[in-house]
Amino acid sequence: MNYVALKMLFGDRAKYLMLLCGLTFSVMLIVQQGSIFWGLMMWSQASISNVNVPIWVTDPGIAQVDEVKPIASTAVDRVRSVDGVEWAVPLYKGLLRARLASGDYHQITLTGLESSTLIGRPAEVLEGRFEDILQPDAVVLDQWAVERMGGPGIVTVGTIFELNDKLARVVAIAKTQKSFTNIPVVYTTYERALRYVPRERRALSYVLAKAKDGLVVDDVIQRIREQTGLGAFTEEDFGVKTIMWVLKNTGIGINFGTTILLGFIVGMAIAGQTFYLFTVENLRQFGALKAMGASGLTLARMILLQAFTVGLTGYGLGIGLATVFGFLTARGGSLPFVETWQLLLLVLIALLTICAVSALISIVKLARLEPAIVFR
Amino acid sequence: MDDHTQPAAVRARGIVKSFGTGDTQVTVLRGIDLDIYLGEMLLLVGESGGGKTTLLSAIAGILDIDAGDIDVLGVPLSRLPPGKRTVFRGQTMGFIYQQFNLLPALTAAENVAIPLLIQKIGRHEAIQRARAMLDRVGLEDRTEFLPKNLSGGQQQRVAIARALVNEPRLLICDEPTAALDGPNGQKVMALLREVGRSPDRCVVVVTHDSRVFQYGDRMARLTDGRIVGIESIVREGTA
Amino acid sequence: MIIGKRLSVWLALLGIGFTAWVLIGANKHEPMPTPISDPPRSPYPHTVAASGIIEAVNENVRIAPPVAGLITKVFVKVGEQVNEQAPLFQLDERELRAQLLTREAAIPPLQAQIDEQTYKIGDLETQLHRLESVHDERAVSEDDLKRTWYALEMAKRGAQRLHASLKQAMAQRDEVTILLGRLTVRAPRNGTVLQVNVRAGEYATLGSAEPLILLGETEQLQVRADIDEVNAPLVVPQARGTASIKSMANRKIPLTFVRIEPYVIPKKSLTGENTERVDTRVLQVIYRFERPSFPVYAGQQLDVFIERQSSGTSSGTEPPSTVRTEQPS
Repeated sequence: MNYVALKMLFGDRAKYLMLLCGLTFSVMLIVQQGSIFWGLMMWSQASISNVNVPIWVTDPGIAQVDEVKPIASTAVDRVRSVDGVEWAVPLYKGLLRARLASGDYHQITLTGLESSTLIGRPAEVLEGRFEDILQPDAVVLDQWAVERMGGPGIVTVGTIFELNDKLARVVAIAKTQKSFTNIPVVYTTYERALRYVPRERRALSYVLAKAKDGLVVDDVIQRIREQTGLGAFTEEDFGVKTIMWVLKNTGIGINFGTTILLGFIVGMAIAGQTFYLFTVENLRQFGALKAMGASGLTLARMILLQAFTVGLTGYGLGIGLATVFGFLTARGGSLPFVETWQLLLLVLIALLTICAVSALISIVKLARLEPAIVFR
Repeated sequence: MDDHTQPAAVRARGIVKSFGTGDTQVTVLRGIDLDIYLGEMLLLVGESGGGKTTLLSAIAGILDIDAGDIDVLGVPLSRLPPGKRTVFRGQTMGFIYQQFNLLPALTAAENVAIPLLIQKIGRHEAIQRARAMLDRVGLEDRTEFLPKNLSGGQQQRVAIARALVNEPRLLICDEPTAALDGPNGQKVMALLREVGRSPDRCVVVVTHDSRVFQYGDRMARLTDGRIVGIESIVREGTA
Repeated sequence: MIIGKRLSVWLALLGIGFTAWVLIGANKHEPMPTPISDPPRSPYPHTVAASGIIEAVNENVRIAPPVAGLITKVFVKVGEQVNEQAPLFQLDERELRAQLLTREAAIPPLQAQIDEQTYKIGDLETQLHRLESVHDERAVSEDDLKRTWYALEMAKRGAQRLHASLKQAMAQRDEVTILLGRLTVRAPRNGTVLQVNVRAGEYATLGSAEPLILLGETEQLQVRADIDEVNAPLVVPQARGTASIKSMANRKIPLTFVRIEPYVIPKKSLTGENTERVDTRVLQVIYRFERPSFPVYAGQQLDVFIERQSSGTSSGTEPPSTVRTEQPS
């Protein structure tokens, strides 16, 4: 009877295509919206993912990564003193103004990396060599800085500009994830960063650390918190913290959230309704089958099979189209689009639930159906 | 043909069925007693609203009745739970509808095979048997056609093949000619009589088309929920 | 199978496959780029980390001039080994040399005067002797005798005075000689010249911030490790330690415990001038080490790891360190 069910589903080409289009469209809408939203969120924590280290230590009152609360410089040694910490290095992060030769001012994020290890540097360099950052006055820009400051014609390897009235020379362009604020990032060494920035009582922004292999990272983090009184977070937790902050303190959360929710509801409603209509239209055929002796179980199985077949097909097409969209538009990194398996799983579950629910409604309707209607 | 020495295949006693409740309650069947025997073709006739289709549904076990007993082939059908009734129906009955009720997405052969598939017979075998059945109703060259590409008469012949493919003991036909024009109706009835009627099967046909009365063996007339007469039909020439 | 005959199904499978491919490609967590040199790692299971600076075992000697003055000659070069009393530099001594000439010139006249006086005394003694030997009171008057005796005594006193003057003149000569010697600044002990901040012809003033010459013992070096006061209770005397210079974290230098400085001092910023407000105080621990195979220099920064006894590690047993939290600034 599975054959009959699938034949029934596929046989009416027009109805099937309509059903499939409805489902595909809904899935695509939800996945695309969700991915763009998540892409934006990823952008908001780009400062964390670009540094790419497992543990961040800073003031326990920190709200998000871009709101730096400096700590005492001995914190590096205090974190190193905690059991289970394999290494710990300092990181400077702060806003500064860069002045180009043309006289243009740009606000930039100065990132100071520990000079002997350069931990926290981007993995990929588009131009030049990152190690040249150790030369005098050398800085490395990220690709977005080049874009923001006027393009490769104005800023490139060898360009000289001023950071807080001190000389800076570009030696390399690094590839990073775009950030939400899109403030250009200027990399230099930790020691040099302190020379660029105005004098403050405390300079150290973050201690970047790694737990020894084989240890539970959360335990080590707990120990860092207890022993140093500082706030320690895993990369993921810090990212979530930042995302939560963005959601709470900016309009993105509520604006985008409602859009996504609406998209989700609309999509799911379309999916559910299309499939429900499909089964209702086939009710008479199912009645005939029932009269011919098909048991309720068989019919329920047929309806579920139809529901899940068309649901999964629509799902596959939908996510495929959404991915193609993301692949084509967001490959360069200038459009936020991050698909996650969690989102896809959520959509899958929601879609299957919707399909199952509308199938169940049909099954109940069919169970209540007097097969006698086929005689009329 | 009135030699009813063998026990009745269908034995209906005191069947009462009403729809709705309270003031709107309509009693459709008011105590029907009816015996149908193997090998015969019984026509249920009467005016519209007389309860013909309701009685047919009751005999088929599709409709729950309010009072009375129906035994089919010695099985107390009206007292079986719905699930068992469905299984029983699938094994012993074949149906022909006024609107054919062919699945539009399935080819003629596949439509015919459905009752076999319900009986969990392998698809390959089911299709083979369906083709053989279509051969018997004269549609051997239409097996892969979709219903929409067949004429009304051909569709009903497919429906007949479908009703007969699992060799039912009881063939139930609801106005099989109503959707067809005169000649096609005649052809379908002839086919029913030729292919459907057999010594170990009884055929019940609900109809109000007087032009096809001649194809039956007996005719039960239903008026206002009661059987007002059963008569044997005398045919010109012998069958 | 009927499903296989539908293009939509194949497209859907293609969509899922493409999505999976993109997801696997995109969600691959890129590993951290390898550090250009190993970050410092503790060799001990439990450790107290510190930042240290290399210095000579005996604290460096900051050589200053005894007096302000012009420098005429510098005897040593940077890195030179010097023995105790070896001359380091020479201040201008011409003024004192001139004085010395005067002082020396003052001595011969005095000696001549002493000689003169000696003869005078001899003459008077002879006279007195003769007068006393004449017993004729008429030939020698009492008066003459007395006068001669007085004259002799006075001459003797005069000689004494001249002797004293001579001594004084000689002392004055010696004083200038000693002062002259002082203008040659000498090494107070054996050591290496670490810095020379002075050149011949410059004027050395008193109390300048920069030492004219920095003398230290670099054969044997030691590390001064700064430990955050919060971690101070975790350090026990005789704890083992290792150090590594920055950018060569894998070359460990074993350390030998010397002492813990008993006074906790404000942390000196190693990156800039120390004008900021102090927010941390540090305990300093001194460790000695043998020169490793690779060159190290006094003044170099080190990452220091000090072993901590595991008994003291359970977080509950260090109340002072666990309760302190960063002050929100």
